[in-house]
Amino acid sequence: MLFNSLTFLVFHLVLVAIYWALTRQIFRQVLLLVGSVVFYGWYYWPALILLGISMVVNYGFSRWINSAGCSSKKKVLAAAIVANLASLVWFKYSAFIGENFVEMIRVLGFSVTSPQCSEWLPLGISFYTFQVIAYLVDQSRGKVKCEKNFLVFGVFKCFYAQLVAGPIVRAKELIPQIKTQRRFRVGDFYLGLYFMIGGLTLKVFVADTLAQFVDYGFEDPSRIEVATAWLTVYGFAIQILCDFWGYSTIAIGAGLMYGIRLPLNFDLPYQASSLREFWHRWHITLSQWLRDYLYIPLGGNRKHQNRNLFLTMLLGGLWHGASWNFIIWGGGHGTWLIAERMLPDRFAKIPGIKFLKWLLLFNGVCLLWVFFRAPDFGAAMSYFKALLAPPFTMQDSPPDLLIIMLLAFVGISLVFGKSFTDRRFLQWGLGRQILSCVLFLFLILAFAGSRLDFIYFVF
Amino acid sequence: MLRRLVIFILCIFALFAGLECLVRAKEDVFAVLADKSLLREKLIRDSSSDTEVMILGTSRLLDAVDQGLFSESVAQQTGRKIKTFNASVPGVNVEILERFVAVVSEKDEVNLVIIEASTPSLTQLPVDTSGQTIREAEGALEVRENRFPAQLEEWLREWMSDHLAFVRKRKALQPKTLLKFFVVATADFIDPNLWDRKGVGRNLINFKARKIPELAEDALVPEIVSPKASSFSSDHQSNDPIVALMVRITRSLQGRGKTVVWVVPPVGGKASHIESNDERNKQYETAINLGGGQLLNYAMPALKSDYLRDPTHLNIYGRSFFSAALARDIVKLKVLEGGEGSGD
Repeated sequence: MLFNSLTFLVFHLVLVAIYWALTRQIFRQVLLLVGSVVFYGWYYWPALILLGISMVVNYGFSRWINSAGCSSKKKVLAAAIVANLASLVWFKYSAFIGENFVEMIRVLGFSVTSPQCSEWLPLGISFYTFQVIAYLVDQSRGKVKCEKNFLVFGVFKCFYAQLVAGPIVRAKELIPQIKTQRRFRVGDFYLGLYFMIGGLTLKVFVADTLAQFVDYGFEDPSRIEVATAWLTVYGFAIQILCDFWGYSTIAIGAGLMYGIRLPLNFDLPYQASSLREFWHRWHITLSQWLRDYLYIPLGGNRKHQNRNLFLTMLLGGLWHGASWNFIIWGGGHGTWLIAERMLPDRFAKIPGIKFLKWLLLFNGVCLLWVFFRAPDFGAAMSYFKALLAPPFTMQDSPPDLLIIMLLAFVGISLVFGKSFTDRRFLQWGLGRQILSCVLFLFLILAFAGSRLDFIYFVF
Repeated sequence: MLRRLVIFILCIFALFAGLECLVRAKEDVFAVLADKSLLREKLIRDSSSDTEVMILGTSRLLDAVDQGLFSESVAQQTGRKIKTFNASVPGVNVEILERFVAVVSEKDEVNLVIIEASTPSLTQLPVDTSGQTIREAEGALEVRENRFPAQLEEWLREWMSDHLAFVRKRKALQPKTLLKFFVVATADFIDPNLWDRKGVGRNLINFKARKIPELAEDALVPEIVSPKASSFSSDHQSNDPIVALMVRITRSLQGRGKTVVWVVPPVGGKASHIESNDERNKQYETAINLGGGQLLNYAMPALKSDYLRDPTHLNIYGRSFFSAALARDIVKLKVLEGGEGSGD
């Protein structure tokens, strides 16, 4: 079930209505679990088997860690992490590893056939695997208690608002909210409604409309000219932001309608003036996960900081998908972060330097997005050729709608951007609230053409 | 806060109810807004009862003829005020052209129909709906149809489309498309092309360049093709698709008492040889001999790039010059008096 479908709208509203009509928390928990199972199975029901196994196995590990002594706790945790990562690697990376392994053997002069690997990627596997790993690690560190109630654990594991593409929620944030009997809060419901409408606007109006130009440009970069090529890359930078920001905003909104507060995932990342700041604003819950469960265990700032930083970003890139392009993308970000850390900030007082830094950062991030979007390394190089290699021709002007959409994003971002990150919508006057939502609904209605999947569903 | 939420939801519902009423009241207008050829067809049908000259063609003729300048230029030469409507649309194909012709033939007040004769207008066929893409899409649909979730989503969408006019016509609600709502409302007294693809702003900026230019004697002189009395035959058929199309259109309009003038717009560079070569000229000649009407061929010699936006489209200066030249030549042909078979 996609967030940008009528089925989801009906499903969610019916569930929310039943949820608040129920008076006992246990019934509400059952409703959330059943609803989440239906939501996940709706897309491809056999995936429920894997989700169910993951749920039972991780519940078992959680109980085992809880009952294990200090010495064996680490071993059980290691086994749990290996089990979760093995499932992730099998479904997400086995084909990539197999292909590269076979290629390596062929280079050595042996003739081998490619191995049979999983071609099916269960929806949201990276997200729910990371979420449960965080829970098990936190539990072993004593930061959260073992959740003995399977129903509560089940809702934590597969709450439908954030199951498929995040935000990656920590157990200490979500489990108490699932357990506590809450009263209906109009403010949360109202804000949730606004977030859902706003998120859908980002997805349907901005991301899906830009997708048409981006798909056209990346399909065959030789047919677009230099100005269009640059605008198309900017278009993709905005498309991927609005696609994922839209999804996260809908997820937070859907949670708020149940009175459940999910963490913020995006905070206007393209307004950052350093790459470090960018990663504090982009996919915040993944950045925090990588920091807490990868960077710090690797040594963090204590020793080999550059190596840790590079490895974290490299693995962060690989998390997005099994492809050399994602590794280059992650490596590029890692290298840049190291450079940013090492270079002294001597020019901070020069007027206009902040704007120049922003300009450099935005364009650098956009250029790295080329690796993210291009299907393979060759395609990425073809696109760089269209962007950077002369002769530059300017016979055709870029499509009007592409320019309008880029400007529309700037407008939305400046006027409404902050309102998708905090509770300021509730402070607005009624007229402004209504006008904003009418504008959004109008844009959704007018631009809802082809229903496209969310980009992050495949990660 | 609860009161505010209730007011909010009621306001949203009220606004959508209002939109629904508006779309239902003007469903015929909303139905055509998102399709430029349907919109133009409606404008032709609704054009005012004093429109005497109708121009049909692709973006080439749309860019080439300023209807106001053309009318003013005719009035300057003849002392008679006429009203012209340039109903050309970018991307016109054979099917759309014939549809427009059928609508124009019903308009009694139209005396003269100027139609573009060019490669795109006479050879561009409608998109092949039995093509590979459609078959592939149908195949994909079959797979989806077997799945209950997809069926439910489809059913919900159909249900909304069936019961809500604003959902049915949602493409017309895109801001750029919705602006065309004013085209329908103002087309009678404001040039609808002002609202067309180049945008209102750019057209208004260009408006100051709109004055009748001085034409030199030998500027933009067309090759005129008129029917030879000896070869004219009212029932002769041709196997050549271009000739057959031209003959069919000319006869259908002449049958309703209209005069037909075909125009090959001026082009530059190599396009000139594509639009006016021995084979094409022979086709034009045959079509005029068989069907009647007249043809003004401006494709040779190639136009200087100063007047062109691209090799096949005139720029704002070329547009002024060509509008005046076309008016001059139409007056010379004496076809504005109306009546069947002028030049036959």
